[in-house]
Amino acid sequence: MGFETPALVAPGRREAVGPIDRPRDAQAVGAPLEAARLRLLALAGSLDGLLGEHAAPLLEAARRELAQRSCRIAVIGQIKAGKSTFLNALTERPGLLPTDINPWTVVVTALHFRNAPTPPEHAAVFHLFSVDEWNELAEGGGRVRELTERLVPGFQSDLLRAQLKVMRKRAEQRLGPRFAELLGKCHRFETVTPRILEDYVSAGDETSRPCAGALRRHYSDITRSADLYFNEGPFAFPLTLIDTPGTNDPFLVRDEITRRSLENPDIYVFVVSALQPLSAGDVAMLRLLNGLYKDRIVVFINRIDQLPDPASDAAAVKATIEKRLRVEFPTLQVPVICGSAMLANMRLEAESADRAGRPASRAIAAHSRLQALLEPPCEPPLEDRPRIAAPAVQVSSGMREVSAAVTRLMCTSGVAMRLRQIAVCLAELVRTAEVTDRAELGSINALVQARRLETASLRRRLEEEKASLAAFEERANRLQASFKEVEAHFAELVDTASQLLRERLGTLVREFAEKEAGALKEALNDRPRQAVWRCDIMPLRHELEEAYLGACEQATSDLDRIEQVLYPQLRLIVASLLPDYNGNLLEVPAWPHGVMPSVTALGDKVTMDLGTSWWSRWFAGRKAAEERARHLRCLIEEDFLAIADELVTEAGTYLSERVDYVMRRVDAISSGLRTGIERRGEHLAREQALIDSPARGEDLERFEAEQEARGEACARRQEACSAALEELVTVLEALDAAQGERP
Amino acid sequence: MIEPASLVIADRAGPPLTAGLVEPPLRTGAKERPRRIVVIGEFNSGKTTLVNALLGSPVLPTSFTKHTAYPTVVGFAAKPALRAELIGRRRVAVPWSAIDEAPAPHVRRLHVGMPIERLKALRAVDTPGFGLGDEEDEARTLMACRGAATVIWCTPAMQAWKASELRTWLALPRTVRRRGVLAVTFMDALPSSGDAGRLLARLYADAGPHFRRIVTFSAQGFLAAPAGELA
Repeated sequence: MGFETPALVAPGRREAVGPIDRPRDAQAVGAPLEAARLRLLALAGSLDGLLGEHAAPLLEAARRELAQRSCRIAVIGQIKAGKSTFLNALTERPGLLPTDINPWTVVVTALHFRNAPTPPEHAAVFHLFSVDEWNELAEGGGRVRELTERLVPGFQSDLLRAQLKVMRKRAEQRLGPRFAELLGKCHRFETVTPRILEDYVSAGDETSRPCAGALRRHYSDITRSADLYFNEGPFAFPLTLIDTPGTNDPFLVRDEITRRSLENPDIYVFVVSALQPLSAGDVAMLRLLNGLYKDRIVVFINRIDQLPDPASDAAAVKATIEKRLRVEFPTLQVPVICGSAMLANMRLEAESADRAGRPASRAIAAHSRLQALLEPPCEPPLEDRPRIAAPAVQVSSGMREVSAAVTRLMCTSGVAMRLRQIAVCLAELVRTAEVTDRAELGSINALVQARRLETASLRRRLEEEKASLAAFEERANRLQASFKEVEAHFAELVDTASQLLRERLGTLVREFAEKEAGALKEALNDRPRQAVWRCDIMPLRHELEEAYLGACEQATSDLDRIEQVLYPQLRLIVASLLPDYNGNLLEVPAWPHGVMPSVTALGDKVTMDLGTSWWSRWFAGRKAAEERARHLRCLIEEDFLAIADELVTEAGTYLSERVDYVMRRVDAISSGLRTGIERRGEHLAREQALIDSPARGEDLERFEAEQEARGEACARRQEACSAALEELVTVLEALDAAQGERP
Repeated sequence: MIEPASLVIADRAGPPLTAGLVEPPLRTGAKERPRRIVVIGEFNSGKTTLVNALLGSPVLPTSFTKHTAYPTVVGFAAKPALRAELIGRRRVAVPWSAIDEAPAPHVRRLHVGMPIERLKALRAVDTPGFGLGDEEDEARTLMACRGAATVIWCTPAMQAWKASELRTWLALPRTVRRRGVLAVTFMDALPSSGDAGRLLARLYADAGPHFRRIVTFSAQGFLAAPAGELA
């Protein structure tokens, strides 16, 4: 696994390079989801005329989401693991993101691949720090200061201060003394060039400064975020790829920026260097990610081309990493893929040179480098040996495997879940429309019958119809009112759950702080001169996680219970409204599996994560046991109460999303009923006017024609609805099938 | 400003590599003893290869997947010998295969004796790497740094000088750090010589203040040392 026979061979065997027909459709990233997305988009468009105006906002929202939703894939890892190079290879744009021998990417850069028919308005948008943000950063304020202030004086705070000073001075040097005027601005470009990118996202050399009259300026010190837009890429589904500065950067400011600016991605690609794979730092990071992104991590072992013997060493490194991952995360199945982003880029360059029919010096270098890898000098291919049986040195760029792994993960990610939800929501809308149409068809027939009778009985019939509609409306109103109540009830439940969780987490933190402080005091009293005592905060993290996940689960099961009671009742009401209703409209919705509340907050780095060296410093600083214990308690409480708050907020968000999903379906139902009621109401009013008009005898013929047309329209709508439903069912099936395709 | 001392090794028959690494005796008249050079760093940073280069011979096995298990002291002996120092300082002879085996808890370090002339003047200590998450290993390594004439921190050129390295280095006692040399290993993996210049410029700025000097090291010809070649 993880290897392929290289498609590119030495220059002497040029024919094997072949034309470039990349498997754009079937194997491109996210192909199954893209198929579903396009079908849903087409459906949402065609349903517009079918469902009436009440459905319009819902349809519009669905269309907007389908058009804008992209899968967010963050590329993370330590500095110099080759993240930017990997992204250049994955996007098949060698040389796009600037790379260097020193840590080079300093700005979180999002690459948006939209698959849109129209070109993007701007190719590159750079937001610079606002004045406040810059001041906070440059003065070492905010979280950065918070973190260092709690460090014992003389250790990293000095380092940080020095680094901040360097950063301020550099910004001034590079941008001139009036650089503050640039803050808060947003720079847009219509095309993106490597030069522009280098100016905004690369660290740049210490020496780069504005020359007199030079137009180029280096903005990266004050750039907050970079967004690049591409119309098309080698991906099926719209993707947002996020390049990050590496972690473990000795430049502390950058490390802090990275951690804070990462929004919740759908999938993580964790890039490690084959030369130093999976260090303790990597494992710690994986451990923190583990809670939330259980099966949405891909590990890419980069740089296998630099191993002494790529073919066999890569396999060994991969086996070691897989073993290590199994030990560390017994329940986690992380795809591990070996490859070389650099080889992939070389191959791309060689291909584009071939295509252009020109010799490219870099491509030639690529060819010879590849050849060296494929045919190690110790084993020259024998002349009489058939080419095909040449020693199978399997060096792969690994890009295809990464794409496949990402696609598999996408099919179970939040994106697939949203597509499913949209499909289900559309299905509800269509089903309700179908049912109301059926009811309307019945009333038309009754009307036409009555029309043929005497005026008196016609009036009676109209009255009956009015009464029936009024009853329908009243019941629909009641239904809506009960929906509202349900919503309020849900909201209350979410509120109570959050409140309880806040109290519980607070207690946990305080108890833990108390216990640790006590333990410390005891340890110090027993052995006053003990060199290093260390507080292990992992148990607290576990306790918090357990309490948090437990509370979420409890609240979820409460919601479930309410739904179990609620839905049969709703079904009864709807059945009385629409006697011939027989869909499974009001089944308790299946909340998609695998959706976990977010535990990112638990990953927040706290002072005490800083390791043994920090602890020994901390001990060097304070003397009295009592004071140490008190300080420790404060440290724990300060760090973890903030985390507990964040967890409570996230729990609230998670539960609200859960409620939203239910309410959205309910909205679809009531809006469908509302449309039907209005249509019938309008018609009744017209009828009434006709009956009351003096010349009604002449109108009879017109009336019948009108009713006939109305009935036909109804029937057509019904037919279209059934077709749409069928399509939706197949989309849902396809999504299910894609989700089921696990390795 | 620290001057880079180049350690690029062209072939095994080159001059001794200790020039510039071993400092003159601290006190004149101090007893002549082999100077200890301790090589430390994160795992897979080329420590063993550097030790072999210092010895001028591939004495210790190097591997990307099997990490050095114990601090390994290489010193002079009339004929090749391998002994394990147990907890309690007792030394026992062990077979050469032990050098490549999984660590046993009762072994403190390994002592390799080699009839290599330059070992009369220096004693090289190879160590298990930092960053694998084994705190006991790391404590053992720190112990091995005591009394060293020179402590070489290895950092690989392609991923040089990470925050974790800085943190570990700063956690060492000041007396150890005063004898610190930063060796940038795997220099041959750099794509171009321009890169080397840029890399060193950053290292002088970021790591320079914490070391007495920075050297570069390229290990061509030493990577593929088979285990126990001299056994």
